[in-house]
Amino acid sequence: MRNQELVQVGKSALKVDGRELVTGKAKFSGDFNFPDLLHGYACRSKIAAGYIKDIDISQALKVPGIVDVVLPKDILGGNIVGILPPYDQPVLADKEIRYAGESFCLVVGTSVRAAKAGARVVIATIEPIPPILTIDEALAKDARKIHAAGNITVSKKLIKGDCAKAFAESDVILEDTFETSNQEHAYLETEVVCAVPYGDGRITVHASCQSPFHIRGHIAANLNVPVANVKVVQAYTGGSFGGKDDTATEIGSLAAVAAVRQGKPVMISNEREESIVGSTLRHASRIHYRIAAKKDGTITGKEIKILLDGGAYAAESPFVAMKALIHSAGPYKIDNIKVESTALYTNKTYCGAFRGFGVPQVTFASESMMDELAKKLKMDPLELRRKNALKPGDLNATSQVFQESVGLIETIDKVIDLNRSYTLPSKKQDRYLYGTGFASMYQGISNGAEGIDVVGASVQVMQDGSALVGIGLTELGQGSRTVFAQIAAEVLGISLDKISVKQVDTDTVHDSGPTVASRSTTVGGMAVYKAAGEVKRSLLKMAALMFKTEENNIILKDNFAQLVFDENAKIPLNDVCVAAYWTGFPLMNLSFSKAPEAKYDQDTTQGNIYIAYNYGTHMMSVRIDKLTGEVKVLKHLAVHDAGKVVNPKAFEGQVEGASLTGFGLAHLEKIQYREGVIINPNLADYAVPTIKDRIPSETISIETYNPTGPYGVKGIGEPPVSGAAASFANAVAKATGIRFKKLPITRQVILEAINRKK
Amino acid sequence: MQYFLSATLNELLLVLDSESNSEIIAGGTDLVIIMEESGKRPEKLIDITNIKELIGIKEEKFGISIGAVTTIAKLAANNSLPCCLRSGAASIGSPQIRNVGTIGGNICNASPSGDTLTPLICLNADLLLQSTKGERLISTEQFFLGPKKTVLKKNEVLSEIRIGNRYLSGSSGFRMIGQRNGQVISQVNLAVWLKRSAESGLIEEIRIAAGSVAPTPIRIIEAEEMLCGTNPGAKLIFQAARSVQACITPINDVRSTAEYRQDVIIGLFSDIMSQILKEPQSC
Ligand SMILES: Cc1cc2nc3c(=O)[nH]c(=O)nc-3n(C[C@H](O)[C@H](O)[C@H](O)COP(=O)(O)OP(=O)(O)OC[C@H]3O[C@@H](n4cnc5c(N)ncnc54)[C@H](O)[C@@H]3O)c2cc1C
Repeated sequence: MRNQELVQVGKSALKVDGRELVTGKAKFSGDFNFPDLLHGYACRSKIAAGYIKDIDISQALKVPGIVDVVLPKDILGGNIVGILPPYDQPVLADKEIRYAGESFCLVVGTSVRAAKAGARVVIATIEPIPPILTIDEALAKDARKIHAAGNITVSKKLIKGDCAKAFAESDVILEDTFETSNQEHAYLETEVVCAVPYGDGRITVHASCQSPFHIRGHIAANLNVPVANVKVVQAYTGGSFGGKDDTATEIGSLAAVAAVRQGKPVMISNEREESIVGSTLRHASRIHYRIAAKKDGTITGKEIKILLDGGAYAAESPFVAMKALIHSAGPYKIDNIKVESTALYTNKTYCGAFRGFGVPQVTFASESMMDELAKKLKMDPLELRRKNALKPGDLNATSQVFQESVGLIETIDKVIDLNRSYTLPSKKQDRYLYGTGFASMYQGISNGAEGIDVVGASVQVMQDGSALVGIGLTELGQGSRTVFAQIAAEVLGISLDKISVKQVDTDTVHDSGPTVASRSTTVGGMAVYKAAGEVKRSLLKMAALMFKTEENNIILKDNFAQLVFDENAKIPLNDVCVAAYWTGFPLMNLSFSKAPEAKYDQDTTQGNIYIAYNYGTHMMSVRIDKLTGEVKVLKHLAVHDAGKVVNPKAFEGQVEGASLTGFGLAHLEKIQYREGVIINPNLADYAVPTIKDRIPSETISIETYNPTGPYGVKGIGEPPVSGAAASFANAVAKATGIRFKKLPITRQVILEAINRKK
Repeated sequence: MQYFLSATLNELLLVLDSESNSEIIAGGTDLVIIMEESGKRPEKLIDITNIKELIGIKEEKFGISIGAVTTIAKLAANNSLPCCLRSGAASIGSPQIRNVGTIGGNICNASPSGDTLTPLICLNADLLLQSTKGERLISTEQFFLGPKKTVLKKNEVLSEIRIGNRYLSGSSGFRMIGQRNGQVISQVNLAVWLKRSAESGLIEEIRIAAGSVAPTPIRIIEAEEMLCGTNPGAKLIFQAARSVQACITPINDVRSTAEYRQDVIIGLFSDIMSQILKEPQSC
């Protein structure tokens, strides 16, 4: 694959599903309609913590159009959500309410309006208990236990070298504490599922979701039926960013239970408020950071304590804590590292996966500290990063070594180079403050420490020379269908217009795990590459027979089989396909790609974890209005080593989108609570960036060759979040001369700080 | 719940008079949200968007008349309206909201942060309230009693907003700030109208109104007095800004701290003043 001349890979192909999407033809879960469709609407707790004493549904059942109210006891299986241990979350709260917004029953009616009217008259008697709302309250010695095992969900350590010694022998030590807030995914389409008993003895669920296999397992467990009886079909999904994983299992199970009870289709479509209060958020965090360095800028040690506020249930906290642990020291070669990463329970909305998965929080802390260190040592911040940057052959934080595809220094050099030709406006106009900030980051690609990483993909070539690709990873708007099509097209020499990529239907594709960890193109792409390769063997074998030559004299290109040494000697691929079919050569294959397994010490987190890392350096220049605190981003460079880029346009889309999410995290978005109740559960008061808040991101890729991905690819979906958030914080610090230690750094926070400094 | 679609003003007034638990709905961009949140429904919802008499912007002898059911988008696009009102309208919500939301709804909803309210106060606009019993004209400044509270009676409709010729001359400006740039609700908004003497160039009359800094939008008379009769330079403008700051009584809420509201109003005021004084025609 290395140095191969590529036809499809590396081209900005149009999105294969773009036409359906922009013409409004794409069918989302909420578009499903059946003559006897019922609608479910959940009753949710208005308080953060309490014991459920009684739920009186008698009034609700009298509301016209109400056919059923599903209570916890009606869930015949485990009444469980949770895609990994400790499996501590009920689908419907049974005895105890652990966050405001938690559902305790589902009202089912002939219309959304009826269901909602029914939900309004359910009388819940909940005995309030004082909620635990902060990290400190959760950690307090005599704190009430939110779960039987206590308030610590998980705590992990990373130990490399001898930190005590490094700190003792250092020239400078810096220390500080950083905090970040919860962030909401705010996808255009909220969580929607539609469970349909098609009368085939099974249950089918059409879902807006990220990980159909998670949903399938949960539905089976909650219905108490074999997994084989459940079919999950992913509908077009209007964004997920990590948020439609746990939540989709919750409402998918509920809809299935209700549908089976009635023998009729049931849809649950979260309202925006439910999508904010009743579905996962990004973990809020508090990170204590100590850094030891030599006078020349060599970083000799880092000691980091990470506390993640995970809300009421574990959800994906154990994995997020792990990812934060591994990434907290940053993309640097540091010999002595000691990190402790702990996730905690509080009585707030539960937290889970969100683009970046713990990395944005720790990168903000780490890169703020890098700038402070540069200041202390009177070094150029990029020089300091460059001096400590990981290179091929270096031991990273987990002592894993990559011999190639470590392009961090190239990303730093690119920023140094481009920054040279950029000048900030002069500071003469005293209304504004100007500053440029930098941040370097890395992000592991693949499931890594989160367990086995296998993807199954099928490729089927038809007699007319077209091909159908099936894979168990979901298209969420990120463009994975297009990328898989490009890879199949590249291998088979078939043009892109003849390639279809199925939406995930759990009946027809292999369980490929969740669509997470920026792994689709790398691990999924490899499975497509292999499956296409197997079918290609049949085609080459057939073409060889037809040409009466050896297979290695033939290439597949532009829908033809042609001779390597005579490009005019060619047979249309459909003729080859027909012949192969009638000769009995297999035209379909199911292949697996399995990422090298993570092997590491459980106590020290030392060992090989991810199959590759994406490295990046961001630069952001800002103008701050001294009178209003308004920030205008004047320039944003996002330079990433994401290996080979399969589709530059899609790549740019991922970088811009992820950067804007990072900008939102750093500047705009803050979930606000009063007594544990979210008080801004709408997109007017929760300031997710709008189109007018877009930043002028410039996407630059440094292509290295990653041997673990097809054609050398890595991933790009998540990494820019961290880079944009951290460089924003550093830019604001540079402009104002004030170090902000808490995200978001809003207009308000900036202006108040400037005025207090005066 | 019953839904009435009134065709004429007369019909509307009759319905309003006879129905006790009724509510007017115009664009519904405030009302529907309130209904959804509370789960409460009035017995009668009276849609006024078909009443032609209440729609449109007309030039009259006294100045300009704006029908209460004129959409926010129409206001934002109408060049015969003073700058502050156009900018205030343009800063409301998103295109979708502006296309259905109405000026009457913005006024009668009486949110302290309503973005056309401070412009109307500084333009000394009058509101025409009508019922079967007759009509009354009340100045915008007197209309608001508190958040969501106005002097409007149950059987009355706001039919028209009037801006006098005096206030169509002169120059004005509006500035708001929120948490982000797009589709954003004001943390603070501020409108200024002023008229300078043709001969001396001194400010002959000035009106300043601030929103989202008190239970209702308020006029800032102290700052007006400070600037009246002057040709203010940067220093005086800053002093006036300080007095604006001193007059407001903001609170902490989900959108902003009181401290930020206090701080940022200085910048907003300076911006408007420099825009009006330096480029009175630009808007
Ligand atoms: C997403 C979103 C963003 C928004 N952003 C802004 C913003 O930035 N700035 C801002 O100021 N507002 C904003 N709003 C609020 C709203 O859009 C405006 O206040 C709008 O002008 C209301 O007009 P309407 O016609 O929709 O009012 P409606 O909702 O129809 O009515 C509002 C109230 O006024 C009463 N009413 C309406 N017309 C009359 C009349 N002629 N006589 C007597 N009573 C009447 C109704 O009975 C009701 O009580 C936003 C709303 C949304 C949903």
